Amino acid sequence: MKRILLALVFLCFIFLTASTKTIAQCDTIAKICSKNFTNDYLSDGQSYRALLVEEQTAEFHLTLYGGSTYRFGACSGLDSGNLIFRLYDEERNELFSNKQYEMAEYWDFKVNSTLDVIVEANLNLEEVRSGCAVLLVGFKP
Amino acid sequence: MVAPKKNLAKQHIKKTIIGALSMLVVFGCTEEPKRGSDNNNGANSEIEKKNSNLLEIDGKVFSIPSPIQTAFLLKDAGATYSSDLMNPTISVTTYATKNKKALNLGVYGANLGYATIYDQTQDAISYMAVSKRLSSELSIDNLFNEEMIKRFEANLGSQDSLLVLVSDAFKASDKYLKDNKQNDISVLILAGGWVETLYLATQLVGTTDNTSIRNRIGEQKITVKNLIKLLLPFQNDEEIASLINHLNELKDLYSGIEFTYTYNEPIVDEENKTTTITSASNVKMNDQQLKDISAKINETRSFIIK
Repeated sequence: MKRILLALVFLCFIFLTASTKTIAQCDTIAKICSKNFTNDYLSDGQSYRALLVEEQTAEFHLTLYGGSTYRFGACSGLDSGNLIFRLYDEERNELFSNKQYEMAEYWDFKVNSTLDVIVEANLNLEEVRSGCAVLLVGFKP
Repeated sequence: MVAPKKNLAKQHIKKTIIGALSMLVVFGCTEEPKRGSDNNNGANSEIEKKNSNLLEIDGKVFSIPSPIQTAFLLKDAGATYSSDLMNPTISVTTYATKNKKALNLGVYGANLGYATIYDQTQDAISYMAVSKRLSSELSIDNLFNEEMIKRFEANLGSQDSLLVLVSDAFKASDKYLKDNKQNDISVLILAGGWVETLYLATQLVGTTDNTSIRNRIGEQKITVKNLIKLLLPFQNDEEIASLINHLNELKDLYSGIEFTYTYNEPIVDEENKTTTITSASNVKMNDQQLKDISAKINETRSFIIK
């Protein structure tokens, strides 16, 4: 029974260490990614992060207002080009994919009319197999 | 004969516990963002059916537009600044529950953004102070700390810098709350900010001939649904359930509004890393619908700030 308790303590320690390490890893990536955002862009005030393994997809929905310009930053790992991100409208028409532009870490979107969009993010499996995916959204005042 | 059975049972328990904890470690690390998705009843389930490898971000895939964007629209549309419309700072002392504190932190944050955009320095400082107080009462360390207040005061007169500070503070707060598994607080702050901004828009829509405020109110048809989806995982809480009821009634009013969308091919400017989304949308809302929505948002806001 003592051994079981020891195992429990050990596994809890591993779990806590892994969680802390994960948050720290995401923080580092977010810091690197935020360098793509100058003071011209204001954050939308929300934090978007996901831990991706292999072919997992992170997906989220947001509203883009007409007459606005947005910057999306998508990063994973310490180097650029690790994250593929695509933008779709609600009818699943593809509006953008950074795969066509050398996995660009950030891209700007000028929006003529208000619409709901879906952003999908995957790891570039040629570069990484797992990692923290960070998405930053800013708009031009 | 009994001893070996006991040993076998012990071994079995040991293996089960270790196995379960290993799973916890693995999934705790790789699928943490799925937290809170159990009560999700709509689009997320549908998405999961489409793609079994799907990971939701922070348990929910829906985001709420920044209140600051609509505050900018109010100014650009020619609406005059009206401090009477904002939630009085004195009310900060009356918010006793965690939920009320979070909701009104969102409300005050929207007021702070509104005052800053209109260069109302004195009001901005007052709303910064009450925001700091509520964030402190909610134990959100990253939001409006002493260093941030100093930077805010040092940048008075520079609207751009102030707005960057406010936006970054709310992003830091959102991150802090999500890292610390307080998604309910995070969502309530967003809800408070959204309701307050929509309240300001409905109160100011009649003060200018510019149709952009009216359109922006109509466009919230999408956001009200997303906000309800974000709140649903926490509906067991009585106060949050009441808020959801208010928002559901608002959603019903919005259901009569026509929102049309037509896809057009986007235009890409690769050199400047810019895509222009040329798809067109249109909102049709009659005067009675606007009146009903305004009344409902007023009622919802009263529920939050009282």
